[in-house]
Amino acid sequence: MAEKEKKSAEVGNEITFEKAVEELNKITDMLESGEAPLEEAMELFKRGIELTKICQDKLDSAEQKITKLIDNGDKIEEVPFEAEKA
Amino acid sequence: MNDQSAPVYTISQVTTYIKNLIESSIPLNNIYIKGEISNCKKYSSGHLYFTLKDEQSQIKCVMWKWKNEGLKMNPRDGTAVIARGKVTVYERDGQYQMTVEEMQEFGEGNLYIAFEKLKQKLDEEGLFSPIHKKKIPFLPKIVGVVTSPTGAVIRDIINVATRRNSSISIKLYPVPVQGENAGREIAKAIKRINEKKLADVIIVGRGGGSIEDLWAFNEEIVARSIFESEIPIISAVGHETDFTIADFVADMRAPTPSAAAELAFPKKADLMNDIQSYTQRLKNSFINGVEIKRATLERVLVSSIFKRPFDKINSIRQSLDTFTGRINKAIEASVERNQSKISMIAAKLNALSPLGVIARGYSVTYSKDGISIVKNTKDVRVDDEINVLISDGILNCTVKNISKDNKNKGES
Repeated sequence: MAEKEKKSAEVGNEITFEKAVEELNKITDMLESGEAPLEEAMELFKRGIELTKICQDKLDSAEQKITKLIDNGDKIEEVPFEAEKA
Repeated sequence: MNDQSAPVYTISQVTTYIKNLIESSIPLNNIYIKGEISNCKKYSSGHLYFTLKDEQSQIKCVMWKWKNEGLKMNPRDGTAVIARGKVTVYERDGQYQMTVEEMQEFGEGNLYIAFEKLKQKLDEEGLFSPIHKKKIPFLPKIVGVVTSPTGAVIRDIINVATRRNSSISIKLYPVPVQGENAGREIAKAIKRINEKKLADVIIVGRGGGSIEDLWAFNEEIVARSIFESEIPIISAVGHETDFTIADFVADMRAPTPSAAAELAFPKKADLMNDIQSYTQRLKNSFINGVEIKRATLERVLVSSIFKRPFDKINSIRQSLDTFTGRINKAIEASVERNQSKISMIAAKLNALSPLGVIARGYSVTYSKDGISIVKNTKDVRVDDEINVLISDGILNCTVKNISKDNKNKGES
């Protein structure tokens, strides 16, 4: 699992929100320490901005759907669900 | 009453007779009785006195201190129990009673025992171990909910979810949450959601109720399905004070369905704020970083190396010259030292050389073949030819006479 996340982190698109925030935190700390050489600082900054975009996308991308599953043994179908007033 | 022949007994005699009759009865000697407790009193002696009753009858009971100390229940009026003991007679009051050996709550009590047994078994198997607890995903895309479609649980979860995070979807797998099939249906729902990978986290739960109502969540089949689920599971069964087996096996236990939803649905607004603050920090720290580097660059530019660059080169050149001089001197000294050493060695070698000895007037005499050196008179005979090596050549000689005195030398 960890291995898989690591790989996807390298690819950059399927990183989890949590991992993205973790990396973002590390990058921000490094930049704030002011120890990174200029070229590296630029790379870090670029990656950091990319990560904030990924995080925002993850937070915003999907629209909430509330469905009820109907299991017919083989397939499971989904139908919109409205909470019934009890 | 006037029959003189009929015997007359004392009360004690009758009571003793009845006592013997009852207490020798095998069925009454070890019997289970169910009923409801009333008039329950514990005396300072520690003995417990109460009455067990049903709709028609009642029986007085006593449970001695040493028996009631081990009770796993709190005997109170109105509690339905099963008591095991024997029927005895209390002679003073002429009353039969039950001496209770063991007692447990009936209904709830029996379930409680089943609960404790299963809990212990699964605990021993390691189903509750923290090492099996999976982490609840921080930001799931889909939350699966296994509960009744008509209960308060799904309503509460939807309320919390829409309030906190409108990007996470909910998939409800409807199940009965009480009744005979509930356990099996709940287990199946968890299994199916796993098979089809329909959710990132599952909330399993129901609202509050009696222990009988919550019973499905104490069934082994549910416990095992939660344990086997690869998707992390949050349990939310009953109220805060209710603990079910499902709660112990689940990766996380929420005290209420709303709390479960709060665990599964992170507040979007908070996360957005976090990300924005990261963006700001990134920008600030990057700009600051560049500023600091620019300042460093400016400080370097005004330093002497950039103002008078040849100063440094000249100083290097000068030290180079110094070094060259020192190296030359060192080499010369070394050569001199070695030369005098060589002449000394040569002189020594020369002194040791036989040629040196010959140069000083000595000669070497060889036999005619020129191989062996003539060292004494035995090495030659009269008329032998010999060669004598002197400093500047070889004398070819013939031995004329041999005398052992070394004052007479052979001559050419």
